[in-house]
Amino acid sequence: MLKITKATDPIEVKNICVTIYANPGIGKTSMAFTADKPLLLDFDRGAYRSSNRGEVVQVESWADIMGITADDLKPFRTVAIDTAGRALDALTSHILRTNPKAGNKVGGLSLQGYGELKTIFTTWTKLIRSFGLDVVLLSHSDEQKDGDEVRERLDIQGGSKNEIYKASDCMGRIYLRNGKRTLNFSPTDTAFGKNPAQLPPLDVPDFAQTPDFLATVIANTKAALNRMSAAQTEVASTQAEWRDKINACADLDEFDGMIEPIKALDTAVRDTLKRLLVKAAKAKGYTFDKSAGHFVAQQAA
Amino acid sequence: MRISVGDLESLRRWREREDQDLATLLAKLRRQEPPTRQMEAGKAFAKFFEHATPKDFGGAISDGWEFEFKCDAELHLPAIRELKMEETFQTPYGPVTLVGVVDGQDGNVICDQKLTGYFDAENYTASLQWRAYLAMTGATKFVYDVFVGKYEDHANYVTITEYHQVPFYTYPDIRRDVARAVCELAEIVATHIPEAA
Repeated sequence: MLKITKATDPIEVKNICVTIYANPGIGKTSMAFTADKPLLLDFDRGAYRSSNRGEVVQVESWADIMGITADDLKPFRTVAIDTAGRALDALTSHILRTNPKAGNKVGGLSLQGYGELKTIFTTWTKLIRSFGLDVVLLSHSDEQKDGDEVRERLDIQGGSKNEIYKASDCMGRIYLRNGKRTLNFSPTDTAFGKNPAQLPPLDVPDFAQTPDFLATVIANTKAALNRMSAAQTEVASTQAEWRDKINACADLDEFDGMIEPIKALDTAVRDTLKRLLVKAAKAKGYTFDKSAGHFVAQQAA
Repeated sequence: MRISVGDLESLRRWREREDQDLATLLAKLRRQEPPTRQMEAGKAFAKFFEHATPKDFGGAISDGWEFEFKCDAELHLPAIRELKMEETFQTPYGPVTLVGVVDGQDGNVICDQKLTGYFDAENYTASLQWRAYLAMTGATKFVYDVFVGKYEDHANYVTITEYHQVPFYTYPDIRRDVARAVCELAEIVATHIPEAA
C-alpha cells in the first residue's frame, strides 16, 4: 500500500547516525572514543589497538547484542559499531543459523534472508536511537581502481551497504592530507559523503588534547540539522503563501504585478517563486518575454 | 549550448562504465537511443506522482501502465511539482545553459521519485542529478523516493516490491563539482556534436 500524506511539522533531531570510513589503521576506532560517552561494540576485535580506549564490548556473535536494553545503555550517549561490515557479517551468520529458509545454495543469504538482514539491522539501529543515543558506524574503505582514479567506497558486503547509506545522517572519511589526518564529510568525484552541517575538511587533532572531537562534530551536525528544519518551515510557509497568490492570478496584468514583489523577496524563496510564476502563467497561455521583462500572450511571444 | 541534468547523469554513468565507448554516450546525448520499456514505465510512474493527491493507493494506472503497490510506503508529496529550471554556466566552450525539471519541491527540500528494477544506493550517492538540482535551486536537502518494481514481460504491469528513501544534503563545493561536470560535458559536445554547440 502506498500512502501519500501532506507534509508534516518538522521533528527536532535529538540523535543521529554518523558513518565514518577509512583505511585500516588510520584511527577510526580512536576517533569513535571521542564521541559523547561512547560504548564501542567491537565486532572487528581491534579496539585494543586504540590509544584512548574507552568502554568496549567484544562481540562474538549478533546474539550478544540483540537483546540490548535501554538499561544496559543508560551510562552511554553514543553506540559505536566497529565495524558495520563485520556487524552485518555477524548478523548474516546469525540469520543463517536461525532461519533455514534464509540461505541460498552457495551458503550466502537468499532474497528472503537478505530482507531479514535489512529489517533486523534497521530495526536494531532505530531501537538504539529510540533510547536517545547517537549511533556511529565505522567502516573500512574499499579502494576501487577506475583508470587513473581510485574510488573510495564502504567495504561492506553486497546489498547490505544500502542500509548504511540510507541510515546515515552524515558520512565522512578519514584520509591523509599533507601528512595530516583529515576528516571530510563532503563528497567528491571519487568518494562518498554526506555533510548536512556544511563542515569544512577537519584536521584530526591529537585525541589526548581534544578528547571530545567527535562529540563536537556530532553536536554541530545536530544543531545544523535542527537549523535546517527551522529554515525549512519558514521557507515552505513563504512558498505556500506566494503559491496561493500566484495561483490566483488570472490575466497578464496580475502576472506582471507579481514580478517586482517576487524579485524583492529573500533569495531563499525568490528563484523558486519566479519558476512557479512562469509555470502558472504558461498554463494560462502567457509566456515571459525576457527582453521586455514582462509576460505576453503566447502567440505574441 | 543547452544540456540537461539528465545529460550530466549520462556522462557520469558513462565515465563509470569502462565497457562503453564514446559513441554510446554521443548516441544518448543526440537522443538517438529509443526509450526502453523501463524508461517508458518510469515516465508513466512520474506522471502518476505529478498528479497524486494525499490518500492510500493499492495501485495506480498512468499512461497505459499499471502499478501495483505490494510493499508499504509512506511519503509526503510537496505542493510544488514538476518545476522547470535552468541556469547558465560560463565555460571555455561558451555559455552553457543547464536545464532540468525537479519532481517536487517543498521549502528547501527537493524530492525525486525513481522506479528501478534493482536498488543500489551507491548509484544515487554518486549521482550528479541531486548535486545539480541542489546547486541550481539553493535547496539544502534532496530526497530520492526509490521504488523497486518487477516488470511483467508481456504486459505494461509493474509490481512494486520495495520502497527506499535516500536523503542527500548540499555541501560547500557542490557548485564547483556541478560546474566541472558541465564543463567536461560541454567539451564533449563542442568537439563531437558541433551542431549542438
